[in-house]
Amino acid sequence: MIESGYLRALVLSLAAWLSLYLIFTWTIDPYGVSPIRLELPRINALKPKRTDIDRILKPYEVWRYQPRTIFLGTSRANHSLDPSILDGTRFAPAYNAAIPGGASMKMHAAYLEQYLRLDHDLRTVIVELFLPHMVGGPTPTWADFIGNTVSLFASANTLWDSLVTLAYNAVSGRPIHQIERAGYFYHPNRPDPQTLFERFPGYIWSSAVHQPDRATFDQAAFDGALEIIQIARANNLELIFVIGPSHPYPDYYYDVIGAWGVIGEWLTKLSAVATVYSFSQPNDWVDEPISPHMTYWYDTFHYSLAMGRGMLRSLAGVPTPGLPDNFMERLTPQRVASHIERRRAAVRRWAEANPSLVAQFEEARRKWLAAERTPH
Amino acid sequence: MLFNSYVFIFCFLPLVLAGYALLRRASNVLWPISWLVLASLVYYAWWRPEFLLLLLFSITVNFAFGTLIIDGGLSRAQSRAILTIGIAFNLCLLGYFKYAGFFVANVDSILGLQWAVPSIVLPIGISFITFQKIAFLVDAHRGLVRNFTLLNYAFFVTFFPQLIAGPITHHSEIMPQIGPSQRRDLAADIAVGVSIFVVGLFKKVVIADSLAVYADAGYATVKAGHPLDSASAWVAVLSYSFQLYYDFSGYSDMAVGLARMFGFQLPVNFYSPYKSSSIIDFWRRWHITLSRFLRDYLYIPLGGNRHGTVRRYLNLGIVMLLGGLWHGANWTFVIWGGLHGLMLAVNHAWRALPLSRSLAFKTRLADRLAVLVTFTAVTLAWVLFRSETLADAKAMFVYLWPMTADPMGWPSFKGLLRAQFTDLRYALTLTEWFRPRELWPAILPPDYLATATRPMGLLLVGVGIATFAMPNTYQIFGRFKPALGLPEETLGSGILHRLDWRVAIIVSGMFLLAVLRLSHVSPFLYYQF
Repeated sequence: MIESGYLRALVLSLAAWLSLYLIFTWTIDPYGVSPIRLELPRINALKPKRTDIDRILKPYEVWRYQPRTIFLGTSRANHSLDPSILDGTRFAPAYNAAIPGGASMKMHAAYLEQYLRLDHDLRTVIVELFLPHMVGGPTPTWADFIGNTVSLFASANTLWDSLVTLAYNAVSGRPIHQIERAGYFYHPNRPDPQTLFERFPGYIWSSAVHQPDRATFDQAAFDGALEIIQIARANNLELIFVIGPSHPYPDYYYDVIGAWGVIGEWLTKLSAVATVYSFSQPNDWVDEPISPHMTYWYDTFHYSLAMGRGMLRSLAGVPTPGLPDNFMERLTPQRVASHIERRRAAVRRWAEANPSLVAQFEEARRKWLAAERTPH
Repeated sequence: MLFNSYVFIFCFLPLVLAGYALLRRASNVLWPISWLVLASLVYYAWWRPEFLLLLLFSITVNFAFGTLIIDGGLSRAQSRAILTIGIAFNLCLLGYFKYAGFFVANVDSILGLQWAVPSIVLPIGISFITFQKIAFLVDAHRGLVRNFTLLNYAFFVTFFPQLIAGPITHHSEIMPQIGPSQRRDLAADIAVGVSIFVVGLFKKVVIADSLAVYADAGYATVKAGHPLDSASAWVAVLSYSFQLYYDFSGYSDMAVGLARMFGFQLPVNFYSPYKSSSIIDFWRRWHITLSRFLRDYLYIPLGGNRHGTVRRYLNLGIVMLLGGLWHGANWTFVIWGGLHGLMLAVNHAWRALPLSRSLAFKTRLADRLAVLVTFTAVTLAWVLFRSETLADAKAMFVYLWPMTADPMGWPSFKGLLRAQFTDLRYALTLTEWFRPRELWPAILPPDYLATATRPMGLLLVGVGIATFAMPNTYQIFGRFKPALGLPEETLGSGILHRLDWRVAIIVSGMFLLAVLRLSHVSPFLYYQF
């Protein structure tokens, strides 16, 4: 038997379920996107699920917060550049829209185009240059933006992650890594950096890295950078390219694979057509000795929030006590050769001072090359 | 357009249903049926409109063959000749689109002719549509077709609930329903249809798609040439076995529910196959309309069991090999079909032995063991079904074999038990559950699926209990006559006596969960770079 009001009951109970869903997920707000924006200790203050969703979250937040300045870049910019450092400067409000995980110049260009349509207050773009990643990658589409935004609000994951957020806050309550409101990634319990530096050879010479022994100039990637420049000019945006700090250990790796030529070509060509600031020249902060407790480095590639604070304050022209004299340097085509020579000299000094790390690196490389030569 | 998509659920279906409800008021049955044909053509064209022309061409040609056979005044021999040409036409279409690449690749690899393997896009649903049209022509030749008009024929072939993945219906099952469907209580049909559709949607989207992540990760790891420990291999293989079960079960429920919304009953296609106590029983419950087609239009014409035991087993083997090939143009499917043919032959041989009829095999315990053995055999055979190459299947079988003291063998199950069932500290905060949501198989460690993907063990146990202990959709909705061909006891003893507000609360909750599950927040997994 079918009750006469069954279909009506279906619709009404669906509406009731939907209301419950919205009340619950908007209150707990696992991704920090709720229109209600409640922050309740032991309930939802910590957001363990607001992590690893940068591609989904950041376009929505750029649209929502309408920042004046955005950062584009990879996980380095994402981990280390806290936009609140720029509060009170001409760049404020700023948002860290860096996308970890191999963001390419082409991707940055596509994101920039999307952000321009989403954010009418956008005036300045700071683009991080990270040379190993100047290759292709997926580019965002409007369908992605809509689908991703819908998924943040209406998906089974949102429901599950609300439960996880509630449980984590109620049971554990310990600070946990998450994407902060301004878009940068904060990790309160980072592992010992020395261990991560020691793992570097095993990582770089593994199947996780595509062609770790190759360094060739990628015209398509450079075209991506040129595209960013064109977009910025066409939209009257201030554009700043930033070469983030590079520790002598990865610089040693670039040295081994013969990457300086490519780096030099990139910097020469780019600094001829755009504003490029470098933070990678050797100094006390960049060359910080590897130890279990480092101030300026989280691991081989990722510099710390302290380093990022110095970078942003330098860019904004805010005096910072203790900053190395050569911390920020405007690159021009004429200065590129000396910039690279100083880094190479620092690499040689570092290699002499760290023979065990060099031996470890060379052993991992030798094994990788032997495996590559073995027919599969 | 998939049943489990926003566009189907929120646009296509409500529009078609509303149009049907309006046109149904017209005194002429042509209007609502024409509307359903039009909607079905739109549904088919949604993916690639150019294939609509192929479908219309095929319908027209088959209609012409059917007209010749039914109304052409042909002799028996002439009718048989037209039937043969008609079957050949349909098989040629299927052969070109589905098997040309496979055929060329194999001839090329054997003879080394350096042929270019053609890249032919497979029209969606062509395997089902072909069988349905062949069944129609054979039925026409046998004089079983009534009420034959172009519109009715087009409706029979294209009716969207069964168009792309079955069930494979007979003309004689659908045609008698056209007239009565217009006089049925539409609200009641929608109530029953929606409820069954939601159950199917839930099975597909919430259960099958959740398991797919783990099955895909396991098989992709093997494909990438990376090892799995034995426990992880079993997690992958069991995940796929249940994924396929709930995927097909869910689809079949959705098809039945959709047809019912328009007042039609489709034949039952899926009836708790994992509760089968033998392979013979399994094929009476899994993809029932395909088994019926293969039996009626291949096995029996080949001679069935009428020419002795050897010939019977040979016929079974041929039928199952072709049935395997029908599922896909790959040797993995052929061998999967052959394996099922072999298992069916062994099963028949066993049943022929007097020992099989002894009381010892009639106990409840023996039946439970038989269910377990059948499930294990079917699950292992799915390895061939799921693997992309025979080499991948072989590798998976090697990883499944636990008889070694190596950490990849038996000891891996200790790791699984510890991670999934005894070390329950992870359960407290939930943060470690279902992490990551999308696996990156190429870099998974061998024990990842068994130990890191928690609570995979609990999930598999839960799904196993649901599969083996819970009633199926037809046993729940039996009193509402959900499908054709259901056992009498199912129709008479359905668990639900009435559809009331309590059922509405459960069904609407399932619907919301399923719709929410259509959208994913997919974390990006990155590894330093």
